Amino acid sequence: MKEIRTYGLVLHVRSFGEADKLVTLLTQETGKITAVAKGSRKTKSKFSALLESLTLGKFLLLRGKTMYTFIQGELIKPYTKLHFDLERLGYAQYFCELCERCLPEGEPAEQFFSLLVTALEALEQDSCPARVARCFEMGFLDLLGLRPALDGCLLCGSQAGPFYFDPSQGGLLCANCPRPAESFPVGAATIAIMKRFLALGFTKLSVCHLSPEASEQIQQVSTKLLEYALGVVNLKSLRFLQQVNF
Amino acid sequence: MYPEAIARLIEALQKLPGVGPKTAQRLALFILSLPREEVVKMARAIVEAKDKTHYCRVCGNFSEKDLCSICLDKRRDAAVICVVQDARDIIALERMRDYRGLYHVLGGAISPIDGIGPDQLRIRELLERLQKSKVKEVILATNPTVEGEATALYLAKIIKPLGVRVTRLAHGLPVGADLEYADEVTLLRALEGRREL
Repeated sequence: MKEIRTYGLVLHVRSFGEADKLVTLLTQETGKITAVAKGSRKTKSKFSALLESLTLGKFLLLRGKTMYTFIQGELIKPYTKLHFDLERLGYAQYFCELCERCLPEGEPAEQFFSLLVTALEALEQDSCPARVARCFEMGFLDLLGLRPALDGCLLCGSQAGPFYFDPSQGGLLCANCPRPAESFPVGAATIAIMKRFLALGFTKLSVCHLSPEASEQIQQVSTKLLEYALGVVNLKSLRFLQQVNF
Repeated sequence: MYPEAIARLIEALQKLPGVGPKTAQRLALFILSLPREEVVKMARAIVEAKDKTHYCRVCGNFSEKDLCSICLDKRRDAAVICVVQDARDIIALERMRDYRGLYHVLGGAISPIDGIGPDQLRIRELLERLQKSKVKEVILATNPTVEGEATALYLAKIIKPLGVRVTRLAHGLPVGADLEYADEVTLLRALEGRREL
């Protein structure tokens, strides 16, 4: 049995057995892992708060044959501001669900960990949660190797719009080139904002204006790319955000 | 390895939560060692519980009739409703023997990552109850988890405009625990919720 000490963020918590929790973590060193935390649902457990979703902490885990076991840990930041705002909570769990669904188990993902922590910090501060979400999506796609190609038409190289986004090729197509049925229109403003998010990330995000139309188009780019490249469909948190009209 | 009937029993017992192949095997062999009438009684109890138990039409608690024993009890205070996530929470609160109001079971908590939104919970039924009866106070007793807090917050937001008092169960240190072992979040909540003696 190997012991690991790592910084990690709790992505998802499920009840397990009589009083245990099954905790999915995105760790700094070992990437996404699942650990069982025995007795952590009991009121006298001193780690109940650490083992809540959206909590940043330092974890001591024991690697077993099939799963990790949580031994002890230290709470670093609970991101409580996100707990008391349904819209921000929805977006924060959307980030967590993307990590949980798209990242392989046990593979180092230090950059994803940094991106997620930065996004949660921004989500606590920013007045527009949707802007943080779109910026996270671009950064996430980039790290996955799915950076959208936004420098003109993929077929003829034309720089003149209007443009359509083709998820199967991961880039833009102009109106004069043949395009598949699954392609959809993206405005010039949307392309400019995506480029900005990819180049600058969360730096000076608050000065970036994001219209509802651009937000919707960027989300569509992200959703369709993940669907085509990784087969990730039906994100529950995204459905929740649509259901409660955020 | 085992005769077919025993193998089937082991397989059925494995469906119970927390029961793996070894435990299922032990339970199956124990059942076989019991007198026949005991086994029949046990099997009948399982089938009867399944057939006769429903959810109360008003509060969502376990019940054998249309309404549960708590909703039917005229001595209980109908002006106070305690909102819980699960019917099992009612059993925990009833052990206290100090609460004399009614209950409302939500059937879960808002959890974006699990795709559970307000529409998947019994919130509409709660609002209907508040509009039909003269409820003065709603006690939000959802779990002190991220999802439980989000649900409580959402409920407070939609219930307060109806002119009903909304309260939340206190957060703090468990009785009999040592302060030095309490985590920062629990201590902070305990400090925020301190009261004068």
